[in-house]
Amino acid sequence: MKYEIEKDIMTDNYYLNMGPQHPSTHGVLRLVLRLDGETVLDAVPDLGYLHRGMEKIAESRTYSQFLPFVDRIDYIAALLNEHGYCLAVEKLLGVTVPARAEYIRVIVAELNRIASHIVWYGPFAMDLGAITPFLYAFREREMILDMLESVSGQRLTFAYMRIGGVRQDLPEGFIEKARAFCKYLKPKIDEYETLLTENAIFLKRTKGVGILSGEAAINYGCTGPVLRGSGVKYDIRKNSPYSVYPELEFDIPTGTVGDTWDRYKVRLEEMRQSARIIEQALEKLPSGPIMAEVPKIIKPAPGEAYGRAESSRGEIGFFVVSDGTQYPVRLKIRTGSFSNLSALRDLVKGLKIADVVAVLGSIDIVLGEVDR
Amino acid sequence: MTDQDRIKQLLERFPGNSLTAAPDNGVLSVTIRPENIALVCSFLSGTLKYDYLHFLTCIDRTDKLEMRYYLYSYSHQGTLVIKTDIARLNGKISSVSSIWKTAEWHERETSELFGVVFEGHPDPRRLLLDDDMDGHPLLKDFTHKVLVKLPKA
Repeated sequence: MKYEIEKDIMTDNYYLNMGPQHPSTHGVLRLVLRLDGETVLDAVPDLGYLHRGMEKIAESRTYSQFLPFVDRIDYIAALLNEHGYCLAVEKLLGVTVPARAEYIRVIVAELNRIASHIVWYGPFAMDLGAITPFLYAFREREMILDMLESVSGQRLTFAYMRIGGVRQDLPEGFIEKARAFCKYLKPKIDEYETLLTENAIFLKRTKGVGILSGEAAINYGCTGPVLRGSGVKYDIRKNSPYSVYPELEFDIPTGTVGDTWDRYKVRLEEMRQSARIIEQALEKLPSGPIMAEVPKIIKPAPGEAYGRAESSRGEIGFFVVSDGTQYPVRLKIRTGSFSNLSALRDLVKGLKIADVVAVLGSIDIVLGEVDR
Repeated sequence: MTDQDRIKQLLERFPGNSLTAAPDNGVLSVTIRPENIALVCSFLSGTLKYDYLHFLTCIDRTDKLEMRYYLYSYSHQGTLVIKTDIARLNGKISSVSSIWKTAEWHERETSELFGVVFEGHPDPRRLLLDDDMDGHPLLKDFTHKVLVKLPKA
């Protein structure tokens, strides 16, 4: 018996929902994938599942009352958000923060940055099928959270910074503990690299996958490790310095190709640089007050200010408009993940479904920050 | 090139009273008429090399809406803010998402939260809110049945 085989087999494109309940979308992100077999033709993000109306809430809270909400925008890097918010309101008020307070801010913020990158590193490796790195990395994160708990009393949403300074001084023994931790951390990051960097499967999954050019990254408004991974040497801490960063020495790691691998390398190197910053800040920590003279009820003069900081996910900026009352007229929150995620659609076109997971992991989004 | 030179170039390109440019709190601030937004933005991104849009947003002043566009240049490290006023109800302004792709999502967000219509937007769907939601939450007179004022203690 002879079979006639039809030469041109036509297949229809079809749609697949990825999320909102899916472990590799890192929160409640829904991606509508248009597929041809397993090849992604289009990926349309659907947002808003975690929209809490932060900007509306801000209009009925005083400037100090809004601080705890800021923690919940990007709950993985709460202290970095707080830093950005305090900078914006202080700019509007014209307050100069005491040197000791700024050093403490930098120390806790950089510790938080390391913790945040660990929360990226572990699940990112897990997305690609490696379970072990997650367990290794979270061991160090626990130490950071213990330290931050001793400073602020909280482990995730710290509400530690205040407009004009910080809530309380560092506890006894913190400096020694932090110094010992930095010394301990550096070989641990080498250990993270041993687990993944030379791994053949890992290389196959990340090298040349999801390439974002420098120009495209700028046009999409990408910031942070995503921008630097694409070879643009730009870090707000260096290029538009705030706080005491000009007094501290650190390098800005950049990638060359802009693929998933480059974004991975940039973040690992950033952890090393953060440890370097903390060590220097601990060394230079001056004595003195930890709060500026700020009135109990803050009423900035009418005007507007945009304050921004380098978060672990890019530029976290707060645009504050005051009309002279104790409530802001408008508070716009500009987050890194929001703009970084908008580039995803172009990044994953033509890749396989499994690569979408890898690329999304390398962008490192926090949905609380995207939806606000 | 300094901010002063850039102000000069802007005034040369847009003569008359269609544009004012002056430093405000250390930030170069450009006030324009809303119908000129597309022209001004393409000039800023092309000739003056403002290649990065931090964000764009809107402020409700109860009698008008004020638009803000925060720009930055990676090549000359200058910051610039564009200010323009539009009508409060169904205010219209041209989309700038063909110049900076960042604007695409920011415009969708501003559109649903303030009711601003961005003309020529490639994908004018809602971004964060439900499709069946009525009203624009960030307008000052927005009311909703689940939003009740807290009683005074």
